[in-house]
Parts: sequence; C-alpha cells; structure tokens
Amino acid sequence: MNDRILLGHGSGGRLTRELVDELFVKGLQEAAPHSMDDAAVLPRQDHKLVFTTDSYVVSPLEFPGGDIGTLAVAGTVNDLAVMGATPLYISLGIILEEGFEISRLKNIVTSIADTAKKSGVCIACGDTKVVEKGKGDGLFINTAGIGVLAYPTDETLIQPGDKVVINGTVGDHGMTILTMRKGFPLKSSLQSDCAPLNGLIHQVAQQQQIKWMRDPTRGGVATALNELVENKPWGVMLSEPDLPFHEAVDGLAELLGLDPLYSANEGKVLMIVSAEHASETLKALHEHPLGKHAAIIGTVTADYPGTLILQTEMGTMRTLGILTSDPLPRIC
Amino acid sequence: MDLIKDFRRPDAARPISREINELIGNRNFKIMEVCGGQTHTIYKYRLKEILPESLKLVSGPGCPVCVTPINFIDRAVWLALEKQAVLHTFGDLMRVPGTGRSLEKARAEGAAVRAVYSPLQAIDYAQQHRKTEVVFLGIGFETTMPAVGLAIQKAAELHLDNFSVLLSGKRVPPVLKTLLSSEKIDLDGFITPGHVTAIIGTDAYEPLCAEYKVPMVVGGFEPLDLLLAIRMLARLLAKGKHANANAYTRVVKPGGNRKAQDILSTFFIPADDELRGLGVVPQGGFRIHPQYRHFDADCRFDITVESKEPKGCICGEILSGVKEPFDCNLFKKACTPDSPVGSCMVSNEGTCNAAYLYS
Repeated sequence: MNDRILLGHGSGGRLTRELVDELFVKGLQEAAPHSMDDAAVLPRQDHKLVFTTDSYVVSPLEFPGGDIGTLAVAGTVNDLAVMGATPLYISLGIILEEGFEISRLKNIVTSIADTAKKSGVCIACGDTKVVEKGKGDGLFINTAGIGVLAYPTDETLIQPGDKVVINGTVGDHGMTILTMRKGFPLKSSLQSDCAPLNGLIHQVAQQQQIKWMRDPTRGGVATALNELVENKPWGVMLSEPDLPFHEAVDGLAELLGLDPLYSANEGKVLMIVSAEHASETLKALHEHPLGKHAAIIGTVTADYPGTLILQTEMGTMRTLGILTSDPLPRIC
Repeated sequence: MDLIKDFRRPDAARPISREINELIGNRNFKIMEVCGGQTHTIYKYRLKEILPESLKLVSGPGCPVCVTPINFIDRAVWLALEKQAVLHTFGDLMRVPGTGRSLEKARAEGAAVRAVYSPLQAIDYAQQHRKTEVVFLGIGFETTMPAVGLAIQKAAELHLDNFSVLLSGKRVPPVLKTLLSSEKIDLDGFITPGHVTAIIGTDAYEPLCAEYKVPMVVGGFEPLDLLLAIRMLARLLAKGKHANANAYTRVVKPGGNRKAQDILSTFFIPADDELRGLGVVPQGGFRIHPQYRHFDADCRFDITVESKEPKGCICGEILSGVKEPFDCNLFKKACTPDSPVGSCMVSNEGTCNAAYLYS
C-alpha cells in the first residue's frame, strides 16, 4: 500500500477498495459490522428516533486527549445523548486531501474505532472522497447519528430554585486547541476533555428526571446557558467560586484575557435538576470516571428573568452575555 | 500565596471598600484609571458596586489598540495591498476599522496578514522568506516597546534587509500631561498603569505630580490591587493632599526596569505623536532611532494614504475621560464587537468593549 493518499483513492476503483479494506474494515472491525452495500438496513425500533449530524474541521487534527476521529464520534454521540437518547448508529463521511499520510489516517481510524466501542455505537455506513492537494486541510469528517429516545428531558419543568450541574472542569478543549496552534509560545499539561458522555448520562438519567441537558461545545458554558434562558420568565445565576477549572485553563485564561466560560468543551454536559435531586445527581456523577470533578455551579432564579448572571469571586454580580465572535475558529 | 485567587478575596475587599466609602462620604471626585486592563477589571468585577457613588471612575487612554490612529491601520493596509508586504501583528489589531477596511477585511481581499504573539515571529518569517518584505506592526506603550526593540536588534544582527517596523509606540507621561493641561478634562487623581510603570518606574511621574498637584497611585490589575490603589487615592483626596504613590509594590519599583529602559533608549527616540482622540501629543510617542532607520517602514516606503474618522464615533472623548460608552449613540447599536465602528470596541482593553461585555 502507498504511504500517502492519492487522488485515485477516491476514484471508486481498486485503490478505493484497497483503502476501505485495509484501513476502514480492518481498523474499525467490530465497530462497523455491516456489509458493503450502498446503504445500511437497520432494525425497527420501538421508541422515537433521534437523528443528528455534525462536521468536524478541527485544526490541528491531533491534540492532547484525542484527535479528529475521537471528536467526530464523541461529538455526535454527545449530541444524541444530551437529547436523552441512547445512541445506536453513526455514519462516517471522510474527505481526504491528496498527499495525506496513510499512517496518520490509520491512527485516526483507530481513534474512531476506540471511541465507537467506548460509546457502544455501531458505524453503520461510510464514504471516502479525496480532493486535490491544496483544496482541503488534510482531512475533514462528517458524522450523522441515530439514537432512540430513552430519557426525554422537558425544559418546561424548570422552575426557580433548580440547580445547574456540570460533570467537570470548564473550557478544557478550547484552551487545549489554542495551545496547540502554530506559533503558540507556551506548553501546558492541558488535555482536551473529548469523550462520549452517553454512559455518564445514562447513569444519572436512570435515577432521576433531568429537566434539561446540553453539551457546551462551541461558545462554552456561557453560550449554552444564554440560549436556555432567552425569553424565559427565569434566569440562571452561576457562582464563580463553585466553577471547576483546570489550573492550566485558569492560568492561560488570565494570561490571554480569555474567559473559559466561553471556551469549548467536548466531554462536558450541563444538567438542570430539581434542588432536592441535586446532591443525588452529583453523587451519581462523581461515581463515573467522567464525572469526578462534577459540581453544582448555579441556580435557576426568578430574580433575573431571561438573563445569565455571574456572582463573581468578589461577591458582585455581572451579566454573562452571548459570545460576540469566536476567538478561535475551527475548534471542532 | 496564590497570585490570582488571593487578590480576589471578598473578605479582604470588604474592609478596604468600607474605608474608601468612609473617606469619600458623598463628596464628588473623579479619578481616571489610565490602563485598559484596569478598566477591564473594574467592569468585570463590577467594582463600582462596592465603591461610593460620588466617586467617579473614568477610563483613560491606556489601551494601545484604542489610541492607535486610524491612519496607522490605513498605512498598514496600504503596505499589504500596494507593496505586497507580509504584515505581522498582535491579534487585537486585526478588527480595528480603518478608513476603508480593517486588516481582517484586507486579508479576506488577499492581503497577507499574520497574527503573532511576539515580534520575534516576524523576524523568523523574514529570515525564512528573504525575498519578501516583512513588516511588523509595532503598537503599544512602554510595556510593549522593549520587545519591538529586541526584534530590531535581532534583525540588525541577522543583517535582514527585508524586515521593517511600522511603529505607533506611545509614552504614558506626556499623554497624562496633555490630559492634565486640557481644560475640558477635570480629574482629581490617577490610577497609573501597573505594567507601564514596571518599565518606566514611579519616578517618571514625579514632575507631573509636583507641577499639577494631583495624586497619582500605581495600580495593578486584580480587584484587590485596584481597591488598594483607590484607597490610597481616597486617603490623599480626603486630606486634600497630592503624592506620587505605589499600590503595586510587588511589581513596580521607583526606578523601573533599567534593562528595558536601555533597550528603549537604544532603539527609539521620543517624538511628537498622534493619539486617537487626543491629537498630536508633544513627545507622546516613539520614533525608531536614526541609527536603525532602515528598519523603519515609514523611511523604507513612501506611504501615501488619506484617512477619515468614522462618523458619530466618540472614541476620542471616551479615551480622554470626557465621555462614557453609554453617552455614544452608536454604542450597542451600530457599534458592537462583531462590527466595531471605533477602536474602543475592538480590543479587550477597550472601554466600550468592556462596557459591552460586562454590563
């Protein structure tokens, strides 16, 4: 086999077949048990179906804590999971740039297989295309996902006094990508939090009603909560001292003048639960490896309708608005 | 000691805020925090909530992006588009509107503009692309200029003949002098900028403090740093005294940083210079030292551009403490961080940007 992707690998001919057999079939193994037909035939489901799609253009492709493959599976799995769905199938569309190293692709495929296995989803169908050198940036991935609705959330149940919970440190993915960008002069021990959350969510959801869930990816925690409170008769008050931050995220944010509340997460879920269930929720999260640093970070309040408020470390209050413009493009 | 968390402790802030309130009572005072970083902290932590209402804090001209005249952006764009120069800039200059376009818009039209963290990245690029004109956009106050000086030193050592600096370096003391001698501006005291003063030293303000009999206190950038500076000012104001004092002793020394000062005097000379909103300030800026004039983009190229200030924008009055963002008809309407009209909305040290984000 060649050591780099050629235009012929996308021609549909012998090279394509070789790439699919050698790389995808072998690499994905039990994560992709379906035949080579034009489309996958899936068994009938008894529950409502949940369907989503996302494209992944992260730069750089590899970063501490994962790569574009991890992200492409985890991101789509998480979009399903935060809807209260059990993710079942994903599709895998890959666009490669001519000249891309096969060894790098192999590693990415391994990440895809590992993440699919971890989250228990099956890669039901896929496609590979190749574009000329200079017409793509190495590799892009699109995944779509199908799940069945298992734990429907209902944001109409939210009322003042309810608690906002997160499963761990805020802003890790965005800050990690930032430190990996070309020319960035600092090294850090930071890792992306990129991980499939369906197991963690299942653990909590089977015990109690989660009123609302969201994975705070692009735009971060502040943007996700701003979207929630918009036009609502209540608002959310976050408590700055209760927000869990990785030490390096805190330091980088200070140094660069960035707010980690607007930095992307790829392995975090925000939940709103009733005050009486908050401590049990926290306990369930703490028992899961992806929830060790879970914390109650805020409260739903009638005092600030339609607004996201931060009670600062100094005890003063300020509004957290929506993200005005992305400080860092191509984060996922 | 945690240099971040311990300077944000509400239990430590409370007695300081109480003392300030007692000292000021309901007497009206107007003090200026000179640096944009300080403005940012004041807005971010809503410090005005715990300070007396009659003590008015106004933002000063200490945001380098904000005081950079529009003509500078136009000249940079001209170099990129007319001379095909590869521009290297700190990222926050990218979205500052020029007369026709910002650097960001020029880049979309094909100009080569690279955002860097250090001027030395421009040197590396110039070394690797010897046939390309490489221009570093050197903006900033005394804090940033030593790094620009080092880049010129490196360029000289490497005998680079394709590297130059388009300079818009500013000097704080002459700018404060202009504010103090203006009749429009009535200030009772200054929180002088922590980082700039770390370079130039508190001694640099002695003549100003003596001539204008105005209290000046160096302030840092954490909430407690600023509260300590305000308390020092309040103590002086309460007694009707003036002094040149320092509330940021963990960083700032009377004589400043001699090494950095040597670099400044080796590579630059003080010169009259335009600041947005303040006009030409006598000795208010730096020029590249004649000995290194071949690294001065203004000497290297015959730059000809005409510039026009945007209509309705009051950045100038905001920068000199006469008006506040909320006084501007464009604020939060035609002017937002996504589509800024004036420079104060762009940089995260800009007053309008801080007011937009945090209120």
